Amino acid sequence: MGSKAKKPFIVIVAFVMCLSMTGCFDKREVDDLVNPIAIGFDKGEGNSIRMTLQIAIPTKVAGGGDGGGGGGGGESVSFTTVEAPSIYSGLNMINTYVSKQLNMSQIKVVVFSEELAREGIEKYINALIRGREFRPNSYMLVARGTGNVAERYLRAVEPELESNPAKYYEMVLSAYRYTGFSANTSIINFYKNMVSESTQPLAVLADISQFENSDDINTDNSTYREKGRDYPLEGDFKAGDMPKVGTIKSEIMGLAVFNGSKMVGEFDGEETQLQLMLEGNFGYSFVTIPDPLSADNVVPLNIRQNRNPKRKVEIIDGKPNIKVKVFLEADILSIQSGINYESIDKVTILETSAEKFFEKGLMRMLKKTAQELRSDTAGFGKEMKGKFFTWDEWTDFKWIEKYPDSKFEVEVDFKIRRPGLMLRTNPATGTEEGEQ
Amino acid sequence: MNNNITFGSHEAICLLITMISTKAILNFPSTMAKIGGPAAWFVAIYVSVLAIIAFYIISKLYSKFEGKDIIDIGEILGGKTLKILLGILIIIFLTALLSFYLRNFSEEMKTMGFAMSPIGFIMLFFVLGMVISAYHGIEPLIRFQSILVPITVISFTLFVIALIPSMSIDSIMPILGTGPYNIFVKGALRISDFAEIIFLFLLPPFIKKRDVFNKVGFTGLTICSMVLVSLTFSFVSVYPYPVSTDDLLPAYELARIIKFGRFFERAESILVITWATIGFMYLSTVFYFLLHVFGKTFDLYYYKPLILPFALVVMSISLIPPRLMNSILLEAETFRNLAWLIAFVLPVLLLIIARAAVSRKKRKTSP
Amino acid sequence: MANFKKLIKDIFAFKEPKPQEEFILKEKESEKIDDVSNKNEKSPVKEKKGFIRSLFTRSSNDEKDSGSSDKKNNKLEKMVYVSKDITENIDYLKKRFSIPTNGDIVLREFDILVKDKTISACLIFYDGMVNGMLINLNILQPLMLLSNLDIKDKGTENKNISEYIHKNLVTHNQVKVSREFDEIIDEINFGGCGVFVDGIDIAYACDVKGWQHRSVDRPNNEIVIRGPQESFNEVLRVNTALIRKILKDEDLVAESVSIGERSKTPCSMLYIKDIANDSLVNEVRRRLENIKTDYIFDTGELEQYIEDNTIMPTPQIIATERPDRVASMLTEGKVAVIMSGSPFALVMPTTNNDFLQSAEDAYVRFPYANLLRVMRVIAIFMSLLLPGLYVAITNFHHEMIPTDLLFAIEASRERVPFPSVVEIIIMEFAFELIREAGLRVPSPIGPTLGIIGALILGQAAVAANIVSPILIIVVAVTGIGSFAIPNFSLGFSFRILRFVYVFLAAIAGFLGITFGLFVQSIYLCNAKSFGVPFMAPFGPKTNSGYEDQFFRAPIWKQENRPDFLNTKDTKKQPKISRQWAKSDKKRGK
Repeated sequence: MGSKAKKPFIVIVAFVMCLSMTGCFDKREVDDLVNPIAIGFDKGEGNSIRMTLQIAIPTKVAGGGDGGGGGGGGESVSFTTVEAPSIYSGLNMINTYVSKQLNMSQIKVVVFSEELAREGIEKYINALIRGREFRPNSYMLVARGTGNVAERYLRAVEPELESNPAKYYEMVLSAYRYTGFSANTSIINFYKNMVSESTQPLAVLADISQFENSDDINTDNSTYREKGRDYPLEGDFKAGDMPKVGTIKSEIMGLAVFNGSKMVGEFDGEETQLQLMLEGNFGYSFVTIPDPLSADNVVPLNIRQNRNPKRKVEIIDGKPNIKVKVFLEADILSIQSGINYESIDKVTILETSAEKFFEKGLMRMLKKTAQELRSDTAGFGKEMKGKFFTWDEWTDFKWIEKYPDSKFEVEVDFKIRRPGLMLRTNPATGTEEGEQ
Repeated sequence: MNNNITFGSHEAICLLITMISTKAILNFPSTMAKIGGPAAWFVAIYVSVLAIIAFYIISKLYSKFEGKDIIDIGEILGGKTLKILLGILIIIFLTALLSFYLRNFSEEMKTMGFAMSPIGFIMLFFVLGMVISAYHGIEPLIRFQSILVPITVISFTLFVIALIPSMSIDSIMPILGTGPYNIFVKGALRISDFAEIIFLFLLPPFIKKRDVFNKVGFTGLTICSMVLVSLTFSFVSVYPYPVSTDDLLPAYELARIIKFGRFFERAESILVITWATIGFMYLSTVFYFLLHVFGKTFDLYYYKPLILPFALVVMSISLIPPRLMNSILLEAETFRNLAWLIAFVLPVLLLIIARAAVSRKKRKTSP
Repeated sequence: MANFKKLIKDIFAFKEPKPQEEFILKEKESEKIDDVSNKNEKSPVKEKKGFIRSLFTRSSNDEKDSGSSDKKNNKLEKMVYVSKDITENIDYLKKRFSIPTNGDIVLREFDILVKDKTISACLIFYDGMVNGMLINLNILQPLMLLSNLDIKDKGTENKNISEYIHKNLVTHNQVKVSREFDEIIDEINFGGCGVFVDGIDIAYACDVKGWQHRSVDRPNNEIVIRGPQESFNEVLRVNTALIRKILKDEDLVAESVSIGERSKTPCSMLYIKDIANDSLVNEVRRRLENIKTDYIFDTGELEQYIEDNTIMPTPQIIATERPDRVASMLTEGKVAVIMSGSPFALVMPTTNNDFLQSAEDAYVRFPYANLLRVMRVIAIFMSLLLPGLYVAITNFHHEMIPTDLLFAIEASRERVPFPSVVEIIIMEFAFELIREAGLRVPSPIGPTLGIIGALILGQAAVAANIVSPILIIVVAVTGIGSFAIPNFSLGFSFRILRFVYVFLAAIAGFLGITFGLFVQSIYLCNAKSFGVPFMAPFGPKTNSGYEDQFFRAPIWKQENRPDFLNTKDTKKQPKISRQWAKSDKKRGK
């Protein structure tokens, strides 16, 4: 052939020869892989951990190749638990009896047991961050209780509405945007806050419900009594204590508070909402407020946070003095007592009462984080950081140790914007009959 | 070696952007974060300003030598010996640059997507790309760059915009980071990150006009500095200070965070495509200039027979460091500590001496 | 009974095999392997060649290949000039045209009456290639009936008669007068008729072409909704006329070039004299005139003879069958070549962007044209890269796939025995087979077979668990994308390159694909089409000419001709081409 065509020809031949001797590395067919969607970590013996993998079975999830889908969630996953000194050794062991190669790039949820969390999970978080296959956006959960709670939780997750449990996790854990009872605790956020000297990390609480029949439902574990209320509002529960029964056993509510990498306490639902408000991440949600003028009734409101809160930190006498102003807006959802709060004169009463309600809750929560839990979950250190010029000055200041001595001033600005469809409530007409 | 190839300003600017901005996706943000802490972006601005000032000085000195590159000036000054000396210095510089970057690109490509493949396999692709484009000469490479660089710049802009939801201003506090001494003194050394500006000084035979040269230099440096600063800024504001120093691949880490709803996650594999393209462009250009300088120094007419031997040499050198950490350390510390001497001090000295010599000759010849 | 015995005999007895006459194609004299003795005589000459070389050359002497046709050497004798004697001419014609073996040539002898002298003449033409009526009315009738010659001068009879015949008698509009036989024969071969008159050493060739040809029809391959619906046919003059009637410019030059030693195919090179660059025109002419071949049949072959780079997958010359498209490209400063016998005209030079344009872009409103262009670019990328991307993502970069889709792919691939690369190659081959077969299926069931075949084949393959359903979608979208490319050659080239990308993707995922794109781009950027860089105006960035490259600007903004063609006249329109939009005041009224 002509000399012009010879050179590329030789190059191509050389290329093909080299490649045919080396083969194709890293080439793994999609059906040679198995994709676990959740990992659970429990404490094993000594220094080992007990790892539970929730593996999705694609043929059951997707309904096979001939169309026809659906099918309950129970059949579409399989579980395996193994005890090993570290994550990767566990994966190696699992690879020996699962037929396909494990691919961790679809992990959506990482669950730690409460025991393990209280001991400190720094080493596992570092492994998860360093590995290339793990998603930085997967959610961190802490399962409440003692024993192998992570495994128990994962086994109890049986999604009804989806055939794909991964979808269930994704949807349920992003529900914080419209309930406010959990938060965006992805692994990367957890890691950033863990090593940061101005914020402390949080993880979402998860548990399975303790009630089997609706006759057993009680509010014994609710926190409403500590708050001085007469009856529990919807936020006064943590995961596992919610008064509910159903085929969906998993519950997600509340946050686990960490100091460094060790868990020190828990937030219930209401405190989670307040935490989101302090960060500025509260989307919108239904919140119930006790009726100011009628003691037995409540006023549910649809609350939004449209502006970021104003936060100011000053050092007075070596102690931090923290001022927070939170801006909230609401629409009235229902007025149980029928009092005409929509009118101009009465609406301010409702607003003031709501402001007081939130202020009380915020003060309580902030005092709890400072004195009881000693961890700055809302990240007030960020405001402090801006006051220094160099990094060394900031690290010498040691904000984390100064935080527990803080004093708080909280202000809430509450505005009711819309009353829904009704402008006034008309009472029911009827004579007072019945038992005399 | 005949130089009847001429570039326009657009093509030369794209060349310069490829050369200098490649660092932005490699380890530039991490290095800046190591030096300046939260004020890494500030260090980046400072370094860019220094580089532009240095270029200004050099361009003023260049005014008498239109259309000649450094090696020609060396020849005017000291004849063949100085030319060969200069040429050898530049050849060593370029070979080192090429081997380091070949190794870095391949290693990082491996980390990003090809964990099990041997390094030689990945390197083979890059080397083949370099060899094939060297056979075709500089023209198609320049044209390819002038088409692709605007696209790449726009996609990086989109990339930075997509990161805005994850940015938080408080990661940039405290403002002055690790302290003024660290920023200004140690940061000044990092001007060797702009050492690829030496390509600009090898370009005059192709550009041929002085005002085009100036325009190329200033515009190119400005755009490069914008790219570098914006990427550093986004990196530092997403990952607060201590975390940002321990990342190997800043751009990759940033890409992993991008998430639009449930559908568009883990888009870092798209970064593999951009990465590979930039890698091919960068390595091919450096390779061609290496051959070009070699031919010019030793007055060779044909450079094509040199292609395969040089490719082998470069590939072997790049496999010398036994582990990735050594390679990074070599490049970031040792090489860069000396690179600024060759890239900036050498041209300045040369030009000053050459100017003096030329004006002396003129004074001698003119009555 | 006798039959039965005969039958038994036939079956069981031995029969001599009949010597069967097989047909063997006799070799040429020079290629025969002669006796050894003959060979030895010739060998001393060969010793000089190298040993290994002599092993591979033919045992005979190398044939002298002159390269040109040796048709003329085989003639027994050759007459160059027309002789005055008509019988000599007729004999020569009979030998030359193999009359009466050649069935369709007609040699008509007749007499011309000149005053009282009878001069014999003859007429020769190919039956079927000439218009009989023209010959009868315009040549035979005047010569035979209306030849009342009145010789006025006292000059030689020859001159008078020949000129008289030429200027007064033969009432035909194209008559060529010649002294040489070869010229007359060339004309006869192309549908003329030759007239030989006794006593004159000049012959006439009249252009009476009248063979059956296709009429001017709708274009088959470049169908537009809005715009003229004419296309070229196979007659050269009809085609040039179609262009001329659009352009109506006396500066439009149609140079004649003849290509092919034996076929002598007439071609026309068209350009607008005061727009096109002279060096471009000279280069095209130079290439056309320096093609040495026996026969040439179609512009497809012509394209391959004059293009710069035969190996490159993308074409460097546009072939189109629409006259309006050729006309608009001529106005930009390009050069067109039309060949007789081919309905496709070639236009050169081209750049990458011309392949993305269809004729409709100019006739349709500006937003629609841009949308169509975007769709075409997407179609190109899909037809080239989609199978490769599918292989790369499912084999190497699993984390890019959304979880639901990943499970769907896994579930559907569970029962498939092949790896995805093999699946893709099987399906692609099946698709190409269907495409190729669909061309040859008789028309009533043609399109139906294509669609149904593809659907049923795909569905059955999925049901048989040979391929997974997602793959069918990938292959189908790729195929459809390749049909959306306006230029047939380009689509074809991408069909080939697709396989290369699948291979590269299977080796190294995205890195392989990027490597392939890089190498292809380097080749494209290096390519030149008649001196114009292929990727202009993006490759070397030019000053102007962006208005119709990738996106199309509105028509009143298209002021300049493309810069890379270096035309003599760069402005197409003044700055304000819609003069009605100016107010009366500004217009100075």
